[in-house]
Amino acid sequence: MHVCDQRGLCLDMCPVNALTRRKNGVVWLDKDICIGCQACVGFCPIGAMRKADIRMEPFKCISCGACVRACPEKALELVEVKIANIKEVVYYKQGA
Amino acid sequence: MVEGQIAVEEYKTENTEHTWDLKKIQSAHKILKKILYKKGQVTKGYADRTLYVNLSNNEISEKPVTDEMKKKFTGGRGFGLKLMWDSCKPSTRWDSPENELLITTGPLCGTTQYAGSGKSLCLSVSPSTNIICDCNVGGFFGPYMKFAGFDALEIQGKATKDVIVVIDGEKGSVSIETAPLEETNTHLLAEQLTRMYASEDTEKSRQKVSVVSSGLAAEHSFWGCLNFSFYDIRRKVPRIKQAGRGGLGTVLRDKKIKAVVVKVERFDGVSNHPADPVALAKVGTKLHKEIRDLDRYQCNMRAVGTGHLVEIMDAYDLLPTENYRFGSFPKASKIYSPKFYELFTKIIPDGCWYGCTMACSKTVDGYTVMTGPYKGQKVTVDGPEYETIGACSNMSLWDPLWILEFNFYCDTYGIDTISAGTSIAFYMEMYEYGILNKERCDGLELCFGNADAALELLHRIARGDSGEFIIVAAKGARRVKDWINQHGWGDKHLVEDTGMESKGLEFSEYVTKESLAMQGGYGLTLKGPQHDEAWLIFMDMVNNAIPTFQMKAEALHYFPMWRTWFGLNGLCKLPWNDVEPADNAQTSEPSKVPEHVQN
Repeated sequence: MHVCDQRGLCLDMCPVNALTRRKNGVVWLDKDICIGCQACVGFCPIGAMRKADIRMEPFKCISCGACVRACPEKALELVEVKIANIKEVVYYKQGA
Repeated sequence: MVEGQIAVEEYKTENTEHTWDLKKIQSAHKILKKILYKKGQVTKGYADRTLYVNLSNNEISEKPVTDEMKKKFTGGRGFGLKLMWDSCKPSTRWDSPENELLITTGPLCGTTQYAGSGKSLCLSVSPSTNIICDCNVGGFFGPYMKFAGFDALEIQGKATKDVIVVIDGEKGSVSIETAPLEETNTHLLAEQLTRMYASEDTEKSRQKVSVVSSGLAAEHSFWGCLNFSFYDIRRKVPRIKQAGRGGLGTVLRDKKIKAVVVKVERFDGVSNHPADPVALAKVGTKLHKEIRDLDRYQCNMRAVGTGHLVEIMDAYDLLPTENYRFGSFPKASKIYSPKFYELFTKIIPDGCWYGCTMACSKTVDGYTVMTGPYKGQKVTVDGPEYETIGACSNMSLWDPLWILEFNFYCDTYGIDTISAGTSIAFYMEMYEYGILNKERCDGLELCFGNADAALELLHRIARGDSGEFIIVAAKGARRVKDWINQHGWGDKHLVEDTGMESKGLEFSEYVTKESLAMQGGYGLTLKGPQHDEAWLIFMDMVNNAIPTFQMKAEALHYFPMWRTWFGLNGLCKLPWNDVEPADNAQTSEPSKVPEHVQN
């Protein structure tokens, strides 16, 4: 399990457009639109989309940086990356 | 074009766009009856009431679902059969006013976490067989109807003018309205009604509407199918899934129903109020992961849908070719799944219900229609699935584009690709033997491979052509056999043996003479030869999992019983055995996929 690196593979999994890429590059889940199908949870290759027992809609890291600021040892950092370099799409070419 | 991560708003299909004066069309509606109902909540998968509509006297009422009914019949086709038992008589035929058209859901229907949980079950007395036929179908209608407040919809009687039935889960109302100005063919009608009944002019609102419709050919043919719509926010068109077998669309049009519309107020992942949502999400996520990791090495459904079967069937002599004369053909590689893969739109969640990551509902977008009334227009073609490709190989059509053409017109005219394809293949073989000829076929040269003639036959059926052959041909293989025999045109035994039908229903697309188990399944099934209950050909001939007579007999007992269970609950069978856990082969009975039976 890893923290979300915003590669966006889940964007093409969402049937209701609850997952979108925001202007700052962050992949964002709108929980009001989400219908809790868990397709993004099941298909995330690094286990970054997660689900808590308390509600049906999943959650993920949105790179808000709160943990970076809170870490007393400064062991965490936020790194700027170009979306084009990390963007990934759902496999489909295999097999066929 | 970038092949993924396209924002929904920016996605384009290049389809021909239509503009209609929807206000004018809607203002022509006359409300024949409208009732308001109390909105309720679904509990553990049941809305606890069914909806009864009678079109002869414009009655609309609710019926309760009792605990005993749940215990005895579970739901889905079980509820459907119970309601039909209560309402029909032994003398009821497909066109009797008391014949019912039922659309039902099961307790698990509407679950979003587990792939393939959006199936509706449709039942009626079939025009082909005059026996009750049931079909399962995807699309949003069933789950939306349940979330709007009803486990089943029961339509009896006949209207005198074209009507639509509207279930508005937002306002809590059900109405019967005349619909004189709407189109009848599905690809236009579904779009008109989806736009008309969406609360707002947004993709999100349109996604909350689902339409059941048929088409012009269903009025003149016994092959009528029901098209269930599911709005695609990326393609911005309502897509469709078919309840194909048995002519249920013919019953719909015989009752003068143009469409049934349902609108849901809101729904989420727990609208079914399951007893244990946490366990459900865990099991569902486990299946998503299995599909993610294994589908590409197993069935490749996510890339090509059920079309992956074509090359397997061809390799094992099971692909029906030239009216089941051959099981394999030198040209077959032209219609293998990679050919359709090139045409399919990629990178879109293609499930026919939310959360189905099996995603077998592939489409070709921006397809340019080659014949008929929509010639030159660009449309979205839903499919083709294996059965449609098999129906075309049966007619010896080996061009993927003609297969798409056949698929598109069958869908929008509201006819079943299987029944139509198998029947036309029979007419073609009769033509080849000289038993039918150009004159007897009203000018159609129905030789094998003549796609133009096959499509022209569909267009003429849709137009209500009065040619003697066209009228009989539209009623399927059984009626054409009788017609040929009445005229004494060919050897009676040859005609009887050539037309692949049983009880009046045409065979679906497998060469059953190769597989005793499949042949048994087709012969023993109550509703006629279809592959819903006993799809054993793969385990029998490809996997060779049931080699002895005893094992085949066992399979003919176990699988129809087990597969019926899916129809009781509103589930799709594909996620059960079209993706198998990695260690399935090590289990004691791999063909039953024990791990998926357990969850």
